[in-house]
Amino acid sequence: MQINALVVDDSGIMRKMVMRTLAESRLAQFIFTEAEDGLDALKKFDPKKTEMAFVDWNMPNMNGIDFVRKIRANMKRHVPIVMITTEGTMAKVEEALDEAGVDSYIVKPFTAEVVRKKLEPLFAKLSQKSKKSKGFFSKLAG
Amino acid sequence: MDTVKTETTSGLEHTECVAEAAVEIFNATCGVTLEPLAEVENLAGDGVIIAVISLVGDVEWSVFLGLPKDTASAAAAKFAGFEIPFESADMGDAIGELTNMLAGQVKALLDQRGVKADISLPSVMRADNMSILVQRDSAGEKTCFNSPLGKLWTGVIVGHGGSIVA
Repeated sequence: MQINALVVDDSGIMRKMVMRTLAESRLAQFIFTEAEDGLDALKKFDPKKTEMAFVDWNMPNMNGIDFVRKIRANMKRHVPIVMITTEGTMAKVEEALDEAGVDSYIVKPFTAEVVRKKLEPLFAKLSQKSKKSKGFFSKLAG
Repeated sequence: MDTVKTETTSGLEHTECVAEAAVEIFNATCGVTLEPLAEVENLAGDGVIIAVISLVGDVEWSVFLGLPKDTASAAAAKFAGFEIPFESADMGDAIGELTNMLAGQVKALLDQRGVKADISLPSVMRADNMSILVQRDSAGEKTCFNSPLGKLWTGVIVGHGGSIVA
């Protein structure tokens, strides 16, 4: 499965680490686009191509939660969004999941194994969706 | 965890969370164990990097992490998985991110004690012979650690109702 993923973090090192960890997780073949804050991410989010976003919470200009709220308010298609954050307290996590519409979250620091375990259910859903849409299109073609 | 507090003033409830968080974060990110030293040493020699992050809410803290050049280079390489030149912007990114995680862990430890606070973005400074000056009426605590990466220190400065802490 090939995934166009947007990686949003104000730290260039963290973006590199997130991309490397995701690549090592072998959950999918990722094609990455990088953004350095929420505003930059809004510009780089492609409504047709972006299939997933990994978003830091605390960033200058526009934080991760505000970015998620904007995407959810303006896009009909559901793009899975994963928060990657140091904000591990329950109130913050609940705010992200319930109010803003985040699909999953990973608390820093993380390992490839933690990322894999946390994201496997999300990728299983994506894989099912991808198979269903492929089946639909092959029926049309047939 | 027992921490050694050799530069401590009064009014420092919960500040032991900073040293505790540092031990946890360096273990999780760099795979090393920090050992608190009995005395606070001046680690600011030829090249030091200091990152500061604020926690504001029920507390008004500036939490900092300071690393001499060699420790910073070793820590950044362990953390990122590749060498990062001390003079590069990436070094600021790496140490800023470590401090961000440190503050996140401090916040989580405070939360367990019913103390609520939000964290700011980190500010990172790199210089030679840098020292942190604290207002006379501000409380502060600094802990020096030894580790396989080299020596480093963490600390917290406690503000009082909107006072400037420098």
